[in-house]
Amino acid sequence: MNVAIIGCGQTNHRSRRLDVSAPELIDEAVQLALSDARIGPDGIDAIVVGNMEHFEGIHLSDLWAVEGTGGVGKPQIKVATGGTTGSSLAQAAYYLVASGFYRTVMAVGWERLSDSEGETTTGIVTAFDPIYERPTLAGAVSGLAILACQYQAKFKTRAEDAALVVVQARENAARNPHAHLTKPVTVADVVKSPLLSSPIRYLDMCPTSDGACAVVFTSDPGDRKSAWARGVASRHNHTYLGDVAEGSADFKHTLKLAAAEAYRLAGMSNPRKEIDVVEMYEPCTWAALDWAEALGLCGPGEAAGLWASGATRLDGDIPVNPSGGVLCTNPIGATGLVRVAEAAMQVRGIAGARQVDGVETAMATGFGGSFWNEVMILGAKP
Amino acid sequence: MNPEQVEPVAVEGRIRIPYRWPAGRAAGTFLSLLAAEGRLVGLRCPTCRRVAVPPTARCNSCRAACEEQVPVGPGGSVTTWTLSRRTSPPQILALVRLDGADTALLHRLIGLKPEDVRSGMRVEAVFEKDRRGSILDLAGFRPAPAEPPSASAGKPAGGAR
Ligand SMILES: [Zn+2]
Repeated sequence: MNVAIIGCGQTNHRSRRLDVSAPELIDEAVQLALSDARIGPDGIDAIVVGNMEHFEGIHLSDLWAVEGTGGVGKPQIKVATGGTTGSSLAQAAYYLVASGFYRTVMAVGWERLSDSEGETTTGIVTAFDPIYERPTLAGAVSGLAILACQYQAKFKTRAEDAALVVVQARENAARNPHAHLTKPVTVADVVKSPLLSSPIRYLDMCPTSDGACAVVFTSDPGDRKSAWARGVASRHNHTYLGDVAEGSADFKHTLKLAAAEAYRLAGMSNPRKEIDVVEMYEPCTWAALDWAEALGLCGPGEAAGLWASGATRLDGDIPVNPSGGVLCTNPIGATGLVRVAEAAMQVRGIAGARQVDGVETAMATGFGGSFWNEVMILGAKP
Repeated sequence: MNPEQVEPVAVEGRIRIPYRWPAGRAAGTFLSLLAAEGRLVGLRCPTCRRVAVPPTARCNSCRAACEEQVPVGPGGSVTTWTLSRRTSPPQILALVRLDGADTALLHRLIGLKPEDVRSGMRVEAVFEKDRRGSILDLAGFRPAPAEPPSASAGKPAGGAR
């Protein structure tokens, strides 16, 4: 069954939303998605909801969230896959509709990173194997820094090349009312910002945000503006970082696999030409460079040149992250779903000041865990 | 070394994460009034007229946004209860439907023995003197004289510790 996205809602993501409870925050996004989809709560047949385990200290977070999701008396399934939670929500909702079991399904991702009072890293570290890696690993930044160091050594990429990614991201975020960090930064700002874990500096890294996102998938869109799912793929990875980096080639192995499968499903042979806009899950600037190559937007070691050429800007030939991306906004359980929502809005032509001209095809990616990846390609036609 | 001869090895750890959960609009108002004035309010749904206690910003029955504050209690009725032995001493947990509310609040019964609890019995709220914006500003519910909910209007508000 063909599946279309007909509604997207998200909060205006901020560092702290102390004015609302978690269910009230979720409700904001859900109401906006229902309104965008032009359906009432009765039009939703099932709900998929998710967030990061430990981040709010809530075990049955789907129980807590129900006042916001409207899941009472409906099938509601929790999905929690770490950083990919949001993209997994989209994939789960897609499969529930594609299978024909449900006509209309809403995916709801949310996070309140401020609830754990700066202890996000403690929550993240609990993801890793307690016997071998947890005692030495120091959180998400260090794991990504190991990738960045490998990339830098391989291609002799300069810190200034990576910095350009966040400079462009902030320019786009300034056009997006939902984005969290919208203040312009320069390459000089980035390379002078505090070093977190070499070579990643403070401004190379994504923020922590409070926010929620909801996306409505249906097999029966009627005359609604639709973004059709044309390629959906997910690939998991090894447990240990050493196996991820060496055993199956490199950190972008599963992204290459997922992208190849999504391109095959969408019938694409030249993604750089056939995709009009990319909404990539880039937790840090260096990852954006590495993963643009994994997606086939350019060849190995060419990503710095791709950004420097302006091709990735809103008016370039392969715009990346018109929303401002994860580098500007990161309510983690919603982050992957925000990528899908942005891709859908671009295809539906409703992205406002950050709309890329003439989008027929958009790609959203999700990243999480020990470098596992998910890809969803959306098109204006089924 | 033969694994058969190895004593089982376990790695010890402890997770400590502080949290602070914003109560939000509905619960924030409920807790503020409880702390400042020692009174209980529910939220009435504009569509189905259901009065929820604890109050939620959106009606969990019909999904309408709820803003109308309605005074409830301090008297109410026990709808069901149990003696929980998880704590020492054991405590009597109960669902209490406050007068004026359509849903029941989970709390504890105080000042009576388990053998004296009956479903349907009348109780009244007991408030802590030192209140700081928590559901435990409500110390619990104690037995109250049997009387129809309508007759309780205008009577002194609950008890105090
Ligand atoms: Zn109602």
